[in-house]
Amino acid sequence: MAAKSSKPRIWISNRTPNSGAVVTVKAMVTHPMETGLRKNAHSEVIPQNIVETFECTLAGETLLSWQLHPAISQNPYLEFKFVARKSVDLTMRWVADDGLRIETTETITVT
Amino acid sequence: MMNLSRRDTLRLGGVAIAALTIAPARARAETEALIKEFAGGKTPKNAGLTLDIPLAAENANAVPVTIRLDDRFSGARSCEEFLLVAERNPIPEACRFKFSPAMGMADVTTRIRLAESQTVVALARMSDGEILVRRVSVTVTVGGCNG
Repeated sequence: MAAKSSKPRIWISNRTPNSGAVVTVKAMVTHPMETGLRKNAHSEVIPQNIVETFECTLAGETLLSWQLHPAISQNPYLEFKFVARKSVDLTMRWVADDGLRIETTETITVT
Repeated sequence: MMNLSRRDTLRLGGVAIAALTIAPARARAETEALIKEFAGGKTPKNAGLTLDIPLAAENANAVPVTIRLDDRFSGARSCEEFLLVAERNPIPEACRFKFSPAMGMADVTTRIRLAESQTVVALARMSDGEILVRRVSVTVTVGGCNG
């Protein structure tokens, strides 16, 4: 069963940074990150259902990719920093093992 | 309901004890294999990398972890990849991060589950092939994988 897709929660430290400034991005999606190791009340294994990859791209180029395993907590949280060089559209995409995709785009304008 | 003779019960107990003593050794072997594959034959250097994780995890279901390369990328030297390993988790490999040189720095934070008290290992592969490592021993009171 595919988890219900929800809007990711994104926080960006500065959307209009100076060139060379460090920008912090905090991103979280709602997802159970079911490990596949737990059993339900009938001793049946609950199938694994995790977000497998996260990718942050700008202008088609991958800036950061994150490969997740069941050790990542429920509602996977990611915080990353990068050095702002030019104005870009940051596209963030989460893909789960059941095909669920969550995508969002944020604009950073370097001043 | 199974009927177990006294002898069967003793034998099962023996198997259980053997499994308990083998498990940590197997986990360590798996971690070593992961590290070896990541390092590609290089000896990891214990410098230049920070692994920020609480020494005592209050909630093992969500332990905050930060992996940070101490220096920013400079010229041709950047960080290609981070590997995070929790050696006594059922699946030791926790996650990987791949960086583009355009990031200018490598500093990431997430939250992980820890099944029990163990050593958490962070590794970084630099663009010049150098491998950096940092290990932190974390104490867990209530495990975070079965609840």
